[in-house]
Amino acid sequence: MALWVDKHRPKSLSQLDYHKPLAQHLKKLVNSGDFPHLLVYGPSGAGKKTRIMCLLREIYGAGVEKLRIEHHSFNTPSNKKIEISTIASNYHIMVNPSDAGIYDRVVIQDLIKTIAQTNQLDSEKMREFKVVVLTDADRLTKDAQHALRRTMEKYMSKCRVIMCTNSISKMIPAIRSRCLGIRISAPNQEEMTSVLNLTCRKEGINLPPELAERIIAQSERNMRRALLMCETCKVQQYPLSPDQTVDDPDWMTFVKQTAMKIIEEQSPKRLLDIRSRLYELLAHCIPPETIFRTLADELVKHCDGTLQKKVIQAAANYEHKLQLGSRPIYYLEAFVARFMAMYKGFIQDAIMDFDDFDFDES
Amino acid sequence: MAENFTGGKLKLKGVKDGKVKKKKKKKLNEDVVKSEIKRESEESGTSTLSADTVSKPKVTKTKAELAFLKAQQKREGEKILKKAETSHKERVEQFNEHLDNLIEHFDIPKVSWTKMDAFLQGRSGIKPKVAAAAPVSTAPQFVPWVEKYRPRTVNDVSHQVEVVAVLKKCLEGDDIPNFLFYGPPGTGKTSTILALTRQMFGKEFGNRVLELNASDERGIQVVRDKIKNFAQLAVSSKTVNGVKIPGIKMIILDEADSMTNAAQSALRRTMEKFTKTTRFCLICNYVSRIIAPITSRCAKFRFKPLDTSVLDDRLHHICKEENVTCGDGVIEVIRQVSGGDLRKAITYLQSSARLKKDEEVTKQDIHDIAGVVPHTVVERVLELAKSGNYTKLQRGIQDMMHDAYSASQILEQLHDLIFEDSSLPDKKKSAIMEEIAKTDKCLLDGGDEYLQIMSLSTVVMTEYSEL
Repeated sequence: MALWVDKHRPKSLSQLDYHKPLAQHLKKLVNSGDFPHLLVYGPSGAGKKTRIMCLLREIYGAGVEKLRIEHHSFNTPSNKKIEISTIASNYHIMVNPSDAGIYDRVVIQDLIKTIAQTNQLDSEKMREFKVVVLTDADRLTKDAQHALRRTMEKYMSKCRVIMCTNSISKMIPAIRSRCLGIRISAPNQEEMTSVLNLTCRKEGINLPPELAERIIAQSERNMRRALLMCETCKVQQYPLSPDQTVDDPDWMTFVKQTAMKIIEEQSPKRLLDIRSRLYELLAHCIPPETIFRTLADELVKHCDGTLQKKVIQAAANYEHKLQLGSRPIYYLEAFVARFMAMYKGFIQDAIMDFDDFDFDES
Repeated sequence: MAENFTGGKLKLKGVKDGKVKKKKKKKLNEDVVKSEIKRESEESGTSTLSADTVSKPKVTKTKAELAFLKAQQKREGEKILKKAETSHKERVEQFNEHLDNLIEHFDIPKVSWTKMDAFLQGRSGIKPKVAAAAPVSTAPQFVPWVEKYRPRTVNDVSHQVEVVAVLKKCLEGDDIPNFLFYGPPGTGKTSTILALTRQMFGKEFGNRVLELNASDERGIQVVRDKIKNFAQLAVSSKTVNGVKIPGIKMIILDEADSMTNAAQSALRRTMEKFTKTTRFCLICNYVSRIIAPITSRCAKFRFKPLDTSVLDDRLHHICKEENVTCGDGVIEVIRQVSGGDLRKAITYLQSSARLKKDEEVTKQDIHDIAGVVPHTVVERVLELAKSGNYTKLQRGIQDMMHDAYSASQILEQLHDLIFEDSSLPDKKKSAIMEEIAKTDKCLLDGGDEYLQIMSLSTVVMTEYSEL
């Protein structure tokens, strides 16, 4: 049994539920049988990959859905072997080069070269080029991105690159200027409501509008998360009732609890506690950036005007250092310690002010 | 030892055994007889059965072989027909078109159809390509207009008057210095040196020029091996055909500012040692990133940012050539968005033209493709920051992030807005500018967009609240 997210994923450009003008543009782009390199960007759960697959289907037909997993191995300059698994059909290959860590440059160059050197079996019926889809392109090292720019130009006739990324700021300008950028914004409230209702209708269940509204509010405009939440609700209790609780993802609840603990007490002992909780989050593969963002947002909720600004600035500062450094735990912990110091100082100031105030009164 | 010899009668070298000869002769005779019988039977139209039985030993080719022969003949016929379809002149035209479409080999000169044969003799390797090229060129191929409209001679380079004047002088005399080109992206640095070398070396371009850019491996090892080996080679001042060309080679180091300092230092002596045979051309955006010993060895040329009129001219020209219809003010928008970078401008134009196909390109398309954030969005961020309400600001920025606007682009436009805001005293402006610079650096390092923009806007908020 497939999840709803996969089961009801639109399969062609005309089936897409929102961003219709964009779909029209893409269709036009593809109709001529050729297209430039693409850079698809947008937040997670906005439908980037769905659109890419639709686009590929529009070009090559249903054959792109016959996927297989392949394992490639590459030799680094220092003679180390790295293994990368890719998902491929006869027409395209999907790879996440950041799996190779700092050796992603080798992967990109070799992979594109091998693909560009193999011809399509029957070039009459099919296109002359294959498509390489690079997911998580923002996690490519600068080295790999520089390597990509020449590779992209050189093998233009045999392969096209589609990059899929969350934030375009992390791509070097040279890559950006070589691609046609396609912005996919997250769906808004109405679009999400219509998709949720449609999905539920297809599943033959009744979704109360109040519940739908709550799910959407909690999903932060992330379509995938909303659908998953909806399915979880159905599993928990059926038929659905309007006042049903909508559960956050586990890690989110965990981060929220952590934030509460920090607010409760500021001491070295508590910091040790927090450290073990942070370790647990990291051990469950929650990206440190996400932890930072959620934790900062949660902590800010409990602060006052001036402190809010300081907290968010501190978070930004430590998050930046995290990108430069190697182990995320240091920076997460530093942020927590910094927050504790600021918060305690703030509370003490407030008490002092209060005492002063009392003194004046008497 | 003895067992190595073969037994049997003694034989004379070169003389065949009479016995075998006899046998062959007999068989031959038999064959002749049989074939005669067959012919007779065929002519007289006797029963096929008898003919078959008699002619059976005659069939020397297998079924598969016969089928192959048939297919071969058929293919040959088709080939001839296909060849006859296009005249020689047309084929040459197709070949030229194919050359135009190649990205890498823009150095191969165009061919006049009367001189085609001489040309092909000189480059025998290309001949089979002509036939192969024909079907390729019929399919619509995606050639970057940036490559298509690259200037082909030094004279075509627009706007860089001083540089062109110097380079022309260089072309007249045979000697040229080492070059260092610097200037903002998209001003024609690479195009100029490519045009210059193409003019200088003509057909020898491929042998005389080594082009390395950032995507090639360019560490110290490459400088020591590849560059040195290439620089060491001696070249004559005449081509194979006896045409006189400068007796030097050219090494173009594109994007030289991304070379490591160690690699640059390794280059110093190489540059001096091989001055007899090799010239270098370094191309970079920031001359300050090239170490001083290198800059002092080169003739420095600064490439000015392109004028608006030059950009407009070029874009109009391309629009006309490619049959792109632009709405009012579209060219102006492209010019603004590209910020004097001609390559960017052309790429935007091409992308939007492809996205819209035959329809008119509008301002909105250009904004979409360039990833420009609508003014209203940026203004809203500034409004929120001015309002001093943290929760509102947070929600506003979250929404903006969900709309997938690029943080660096927001930064750029926010910078413009704050720069023009006359209500803000200079001291506060500079404080915000400093923060923008810091944020930009953080974003470049890969910092989280949401946190960085939040942090920046809280600073903006503080500055405004103190007014």
